[in-house]
Amino acid sequence: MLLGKTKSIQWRITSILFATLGVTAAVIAIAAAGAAVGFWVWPPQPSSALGVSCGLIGGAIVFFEMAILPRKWFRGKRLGRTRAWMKWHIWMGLICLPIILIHAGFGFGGPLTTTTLVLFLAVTASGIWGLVMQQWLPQKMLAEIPGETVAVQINRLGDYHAIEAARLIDSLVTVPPEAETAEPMITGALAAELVGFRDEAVLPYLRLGNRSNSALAAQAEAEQRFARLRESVPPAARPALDRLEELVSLRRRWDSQARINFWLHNWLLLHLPLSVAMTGLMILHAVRALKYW
Amino acid sequence: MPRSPARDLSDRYTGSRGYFQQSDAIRRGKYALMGVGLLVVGVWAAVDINKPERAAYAHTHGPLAEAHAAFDENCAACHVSQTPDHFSAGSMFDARQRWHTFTCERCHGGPIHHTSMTDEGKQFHATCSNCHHDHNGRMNSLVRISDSHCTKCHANLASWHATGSPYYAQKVTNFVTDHPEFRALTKPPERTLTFSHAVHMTAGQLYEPNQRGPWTIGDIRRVSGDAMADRYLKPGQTDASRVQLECASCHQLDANIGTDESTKWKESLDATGQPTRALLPPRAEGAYFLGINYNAHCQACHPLTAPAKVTTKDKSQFLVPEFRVTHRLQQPDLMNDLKAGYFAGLLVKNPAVLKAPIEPGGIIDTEVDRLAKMDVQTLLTGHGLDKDKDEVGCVKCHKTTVKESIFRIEPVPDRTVWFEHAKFNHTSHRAVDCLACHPGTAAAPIPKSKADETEPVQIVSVKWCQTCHSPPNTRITLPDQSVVAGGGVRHTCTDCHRYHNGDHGFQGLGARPRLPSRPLTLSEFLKGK
Repeated sequence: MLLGKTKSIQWRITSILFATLGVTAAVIAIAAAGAAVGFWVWPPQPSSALGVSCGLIGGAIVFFEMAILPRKWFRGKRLGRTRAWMKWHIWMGLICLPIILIHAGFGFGGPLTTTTLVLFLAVTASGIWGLVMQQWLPQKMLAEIPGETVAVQINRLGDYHAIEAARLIDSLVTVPPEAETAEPMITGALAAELVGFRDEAVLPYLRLGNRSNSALAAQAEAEQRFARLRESVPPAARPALDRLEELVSLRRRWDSQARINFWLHNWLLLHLPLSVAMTGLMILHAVRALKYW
Repeated sequence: MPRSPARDLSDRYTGSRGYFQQSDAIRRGKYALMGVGLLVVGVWAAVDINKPERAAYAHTHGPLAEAHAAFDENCAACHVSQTPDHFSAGSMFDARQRWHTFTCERCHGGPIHHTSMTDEGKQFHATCSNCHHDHNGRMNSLVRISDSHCTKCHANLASWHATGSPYYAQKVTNFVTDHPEFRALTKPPERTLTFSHAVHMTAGQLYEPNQRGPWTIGDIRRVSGDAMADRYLKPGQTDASRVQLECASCHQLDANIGTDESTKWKESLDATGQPTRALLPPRAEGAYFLGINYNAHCQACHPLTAPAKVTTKDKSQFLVPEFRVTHRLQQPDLMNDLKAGYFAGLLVKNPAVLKAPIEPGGIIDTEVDRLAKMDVQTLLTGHGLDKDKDEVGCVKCHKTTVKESIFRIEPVPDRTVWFEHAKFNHTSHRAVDCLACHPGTAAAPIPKSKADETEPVQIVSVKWCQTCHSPPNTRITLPDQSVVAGGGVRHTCTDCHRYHNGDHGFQGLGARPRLPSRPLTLSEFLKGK
């Protein structure tokens, strides 16, 4: 998204890694060059003029980075375009890395600063990891998951489809009140088999997906079972079976979508909590620094 | 009418139009973990607030040395205080320098090492922390620092010297490899005291060839009394026994107050009216020997005595008895001392002389002056002394000069310590025989002519120190070209040398230049104010 859609995934991921290393090296090189001409001393000291300046700049960047959280909470206020926010969030985050490293004097210091710096590095790493995932998985999902839905609605839609599947089987083995005939379309042992297939395989799978341990989770197995049923039922019943197979197939794709969706967003399990903790400790560190100025 | 695909999709959400507001596991998880993160920060902040000393402790590089332990939680005791008076926008960007600005001089005097160093050197040495590193634990020594602190300048001393030609060794990088020989050996100081360890350590203080009889305990009793004789009397000896001195007969690291030895010594000094407290200081440090003093160490055998005289007045002869002459007087004062002695002897033994006028220039004054002048010449030149009667004059030990007919006794150099810029602790080396480091001080038969010469400085070469004080198994070539393996004993610069006059041979830790700018009250000291 941020690096252009026309390039390949590999190019985009490589660009992210090179951008991270490049920005870091460039900022450190500029700082080292400044030291070489006598602007400040090298290696940098956290409490030197350069160190304090980098600390202030880095702190400001961290606050800006964290501003994306309330911006998301209040997205209805339309505080700038999401794309612009993300672009600045990512680039400022990358720039912040060398600035904080210089501020830290390429060391860790005491327990508080060590914890804060470790969290900062973890936040940066998780952010880069997330950015890589965001370059790769959405495209993969687009290519491999036709019929994509809202991830959080998958189970609910499974229930929705389970009702439809139950109704489809019912229409084959029972006679609705408004029907003109007295005989259902399928009777006898085949009807019992269909009902059993519905109750034991189709409905649990549609409702629970992979968690149901249904044989329908495997595409080949599902195709085999539906093919056998399709040969057993009268031609008039086959459209219902086709729809049933389509629902099962959709559920299988949604399971894949859920798995990809997990990898697409699981970095946030680290990125957000660690960001909040890091920011809190950073504030504590700043207060301490002011106290022991 | 057939249902459109869009309708089909939208129907999925019937009854759940606010689906986008529903959270999934990831969303719930990240907010739960965010709460955990906030909780951790909150706990950390609470601990900081409730235990500020813990927070302060975390901002140090480690515990202070034992000497500074009282200031563990009081940064302002040593660093610039953090009051608003010292805060400014500029100081925000100079925090490092701020923390490296100390107030050491409140408690410590820090005389400069050498005033001859360059401005850059002076600037470097103006910051105490450039060499003294605290926050390294209770047991850390603030003065035992690595050699690099010293070799920063001493590896190329000329570049740090204002004139580029320092008086001291130009290059010293290590005690073993290129430490120069002791200056007391390469440029020995002029010695003005005639003394022979060889004779004094020989039983009976005999010369070779034997030019007089041995000196006995009875001789001491005869010339200085019982108390002095008993001090040198060893178990099993009689008055006929030869006097046998040991190193410790004169060289003592401690007055040993409270021992029989000290009691005897004190009694011998009391018997001659000497100030024993000044001569026997309590609880000496033990690093250096107590000073050698005529009254305490020489007088027993070498009393200064004006001989008995016979004078004539009005054709009557009057005997003037011998009397003790005060030591440590130059000619004018010695003259007065002798006149007083003769005058007193004349009056005490011959009250009849009082019949004559006593006014200045009178006959008594003239006679006393004559006797005193005669003795001054004798004492200061040695001519006319009856050596068979053990009569000694100033020149027995001292050199004299004459200027405008006035004799002057050359002062004994004010040094009992041979290392001008190094410290040495004799107590630390007490297990080693004195002769191991002080050659030429053992008993030896020598002729009197040689005994009357001044001795060289009786210490061994620095190479002998290196035999112990060097990295293990280092090859040490001794002055006699023999090679020994180093002993591995510590051998850093600060093991012998100190900055700030600390290694000054004649200034100890209590020297005035090392005192603080003003004495602090106990409260001020503990609060670091």
